[in-house]
Amino acid sequence: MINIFDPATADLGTLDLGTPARESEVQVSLSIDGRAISVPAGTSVMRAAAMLGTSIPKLCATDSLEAFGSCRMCVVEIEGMRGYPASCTTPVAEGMVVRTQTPKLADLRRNVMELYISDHPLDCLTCPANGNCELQTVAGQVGLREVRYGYEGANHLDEAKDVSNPYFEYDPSKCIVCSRCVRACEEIQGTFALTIEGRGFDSRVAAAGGDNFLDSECVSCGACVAACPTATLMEKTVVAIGQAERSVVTTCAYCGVGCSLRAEMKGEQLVRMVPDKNGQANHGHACVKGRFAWGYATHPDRITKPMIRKSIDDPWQEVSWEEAVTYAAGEFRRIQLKYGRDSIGGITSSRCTNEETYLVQKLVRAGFGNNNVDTCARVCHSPTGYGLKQTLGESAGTQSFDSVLQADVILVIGANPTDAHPVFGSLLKKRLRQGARLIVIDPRRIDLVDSPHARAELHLQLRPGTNVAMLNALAHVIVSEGLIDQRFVEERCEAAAFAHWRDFVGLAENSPEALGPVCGVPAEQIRAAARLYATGGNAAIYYGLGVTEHSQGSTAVMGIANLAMATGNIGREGVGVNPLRGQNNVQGSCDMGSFPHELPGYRHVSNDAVRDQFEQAWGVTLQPDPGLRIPNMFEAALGGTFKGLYCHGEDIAQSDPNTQHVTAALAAMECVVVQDIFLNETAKFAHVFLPGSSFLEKDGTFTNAERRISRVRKVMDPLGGLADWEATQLLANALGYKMAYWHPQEIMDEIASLTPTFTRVSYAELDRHGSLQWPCNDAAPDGTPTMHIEEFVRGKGRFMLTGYVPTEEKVNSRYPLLLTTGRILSQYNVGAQTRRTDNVAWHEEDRLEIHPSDAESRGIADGDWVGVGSRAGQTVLRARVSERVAPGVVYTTFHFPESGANVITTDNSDWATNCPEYKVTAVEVTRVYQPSEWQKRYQEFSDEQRRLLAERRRAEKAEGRR
Amino acid sequence: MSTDNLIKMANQIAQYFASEPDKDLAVQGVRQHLQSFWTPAMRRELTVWQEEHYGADLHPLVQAALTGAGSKV
Repeated sequence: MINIFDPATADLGTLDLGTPARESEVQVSLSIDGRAISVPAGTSVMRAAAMLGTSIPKLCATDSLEAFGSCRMCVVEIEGMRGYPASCTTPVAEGMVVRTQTPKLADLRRNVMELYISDHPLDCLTCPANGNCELQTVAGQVGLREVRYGYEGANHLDEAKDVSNPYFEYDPSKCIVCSRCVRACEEIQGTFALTIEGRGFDSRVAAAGGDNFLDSECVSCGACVAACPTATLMEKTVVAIGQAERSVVTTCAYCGVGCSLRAEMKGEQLVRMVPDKNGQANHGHACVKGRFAWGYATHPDRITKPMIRKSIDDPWQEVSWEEAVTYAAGEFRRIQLKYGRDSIGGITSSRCTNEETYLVQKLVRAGFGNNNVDTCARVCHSPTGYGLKQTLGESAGTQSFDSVLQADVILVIGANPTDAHPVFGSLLKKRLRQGARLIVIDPRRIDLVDSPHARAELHLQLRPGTNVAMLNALAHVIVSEGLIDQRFVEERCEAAAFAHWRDFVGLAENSPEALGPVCGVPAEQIRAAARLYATGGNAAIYYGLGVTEHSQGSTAVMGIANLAMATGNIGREGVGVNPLRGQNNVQGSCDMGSFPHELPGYRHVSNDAVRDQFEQAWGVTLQPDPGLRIPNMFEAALGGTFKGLYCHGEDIAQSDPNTQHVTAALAAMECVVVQDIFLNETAKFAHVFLPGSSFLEKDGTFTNAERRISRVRKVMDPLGGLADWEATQLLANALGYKMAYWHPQEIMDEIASLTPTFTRVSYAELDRHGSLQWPCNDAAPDGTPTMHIEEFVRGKGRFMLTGYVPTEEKVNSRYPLLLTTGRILSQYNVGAQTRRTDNVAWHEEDRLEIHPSDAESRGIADGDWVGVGSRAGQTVLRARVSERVAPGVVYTTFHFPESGANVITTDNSDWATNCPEYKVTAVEVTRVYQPSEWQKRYQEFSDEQRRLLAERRRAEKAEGRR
Repeated sequence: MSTDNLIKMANQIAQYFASEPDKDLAVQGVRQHLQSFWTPAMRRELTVWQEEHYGADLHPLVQAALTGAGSKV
């Protein structure tokens, strides 16, 4: 059950009310220990008591899980009821009279506790849960003074610990078999990896599918650890350093779910990250990345001193911040003088805060004097920005994550939520367990297709590159079988555009019978999916990079919006068009004007009124024409017209397609400034390195995929002395463009004053609400969870034509297989963060998935080294033979630079946005025995760059810290 | 910038708008797209190329978008 954030009770954040909240219009009044209370029908007696401040002893109950009624500690007396009912499983009733403390109850509880303690180690003083142990607390509550049974009888005290998981340990000797971990794995995470093995005295927690936690099906989300009332499941960091002394609520810096986390601290040392129960995106859940993989933040590889060098063949030289920015500014101005104003540009970081991305684009537009600014959304969701703006009028998803709990039909296309957006994936699976029906459209058999208690009714396993054909075929069925929501279309959409679209998709060439063979999917399956989507009740579409990263990415996004409009599945809870954004703040970086054609709030630079407003505020003249996109920057660099780049927290040399093209472009530039926490692949081509700060080291905000703006709060000082926004400000000042912000909240105030969708956003309002979903302005002071309710942002919804244009990247006899790429749960994007954590225990190298039939015909066995060659390049990976991919399709991840996944991908791109076509590359796969030529060169170059770093000359004078 | 790439990108834009049966609207779509998302330098380079090569390799919609009324670059 979902706990809804209520600012009035925010201070109850860590209070456990025992059982989940219930929603009901019916209020029930009862008396507990002589005090009256009124609660929603369905509430448990335990929760009602807790709301009065009455704490009933409990062990197996916690308000993140449904009541279980096994521990017998929470018994109460209820007038008119026989015996001693468990308060956790007993719902309130009108007029009920409850007593929670009587001599009889005290005896019962003490006796039960005595049994528990007779088989529990009495090492409280040296136990890692000491001071934060529910068993200890309840023993105190019930006044246990002796254990009459003694400690000599049969017990579990000698059972060995399982320390296989890198982040937590399982100590069975401390287990009271309350099943909270098992239930958390089922109800919250939805993986069903844990179970209770054996019966009676032999009952033990076990992880299925392996001999220990690491080898099992456990996905290490930490839900069990959070639920455990004792030290049985405990974070190793707590075991090592003890309980935290304070906690700070902040926002995860991994994927676009944007989980709210509590950073539990001892001074400046992070002890553990726990998901925040009040988090409105995650409701107390997290995943293996956000919860555990934060060790990178203090990894020894962090570079904490600014560095410069004339040439990338020189060793680095450590300098003061002032020297570094003065050098960078001097180079940028020299280049502009020599090659023109437009010869430099910047890339804003979608991992940094809104305030920081805003400052970087401001620096480019106002300081550089051009619009050559872009962000990593270029290579992920830029088609979402374009496609949704064209059809609906706003470049963002339409719903809250919680909306999925009201969906009846869920269509997942080109997304793998359980790996890439795991906390949302868990919410989606919860809805499937409640009975929602699932359609998956994906070339690969992702986990959702067939996992415990979550199964796709239809899996349309299409060929990579045929999304638009598929969407047109689905639309054809909806149009030709009369499944249009006529009323919605007439009231809410442009009539002429609709008629135009209806005629177009109605053409025979768009029928499933015509396009099914193109997609490699039986026509009947397409028809069944269209019927289910159009008629199954509330239908919601969730999509990811499997839709956008194609030559027709923008067309596919518009095709998705068309489907939602045609069936009336937009503008209320449970429906909508939901892009699952990749990086933590990629929505925010786009909102903040990181695209070369748009100022903050998605307003085109050619708009005189908007430009005028920014010119007044920033005190400069702004250019009215779009600037260079990232791929254009590379092209211009190779053409000799683009010579300088300020790259802010993005690793284009690893993440962007056709690596050799990218590195050639970087090598052609005269001044590359990289701001990052590590010497990443791009920094190996840099002339100035500015130390970045992790999300733990600064204040700011992130905006997640549901447009939710959440606070990032500083818990430790920046290792490099400056937060990223301070470094950008220093660079701007060195360029002669004055910036003088004293705190990120001042930057947010400026954003709010210039962006109509952010008018009411401020740090004070964020603190008051917990978080806010934009638009947040006078029309919507509490934010906007669901968009387009009364009308579309653009007024009437606009159907767009979506002709299918096959990609130019085609298979032939030389390149007979299609490569598609994606992510895995334990690693994140280029892996700069997760590779520097124990998450490598789950994924230590990228593998090439290949179907058994393709493997056999090439003489490839599981684990063999295989060469993967495309028109762009060649690399070598180890094979994983798997039926997850269809014959003719191979798949890999891109988390490790030496894998060179992007050496193979081409610079084919989306027609509208130049988003690269990562998802379709024609390749051949052969068995090989040595690394590729590229990998050898990469290794040599990397070794040399590491040497140049190791031999960096230390600055003689003291570091200029502010 | 590589002219081959400019041509390829422009042709891809034209292929999208080619679904539009009204040719004037299609040309207008291509022209507007180039103006909204391409830098002036990129537009100039393509126009110069088209003038020198009489449009060879360029999709007819791109040619029309670069030359017709309202085609300021």
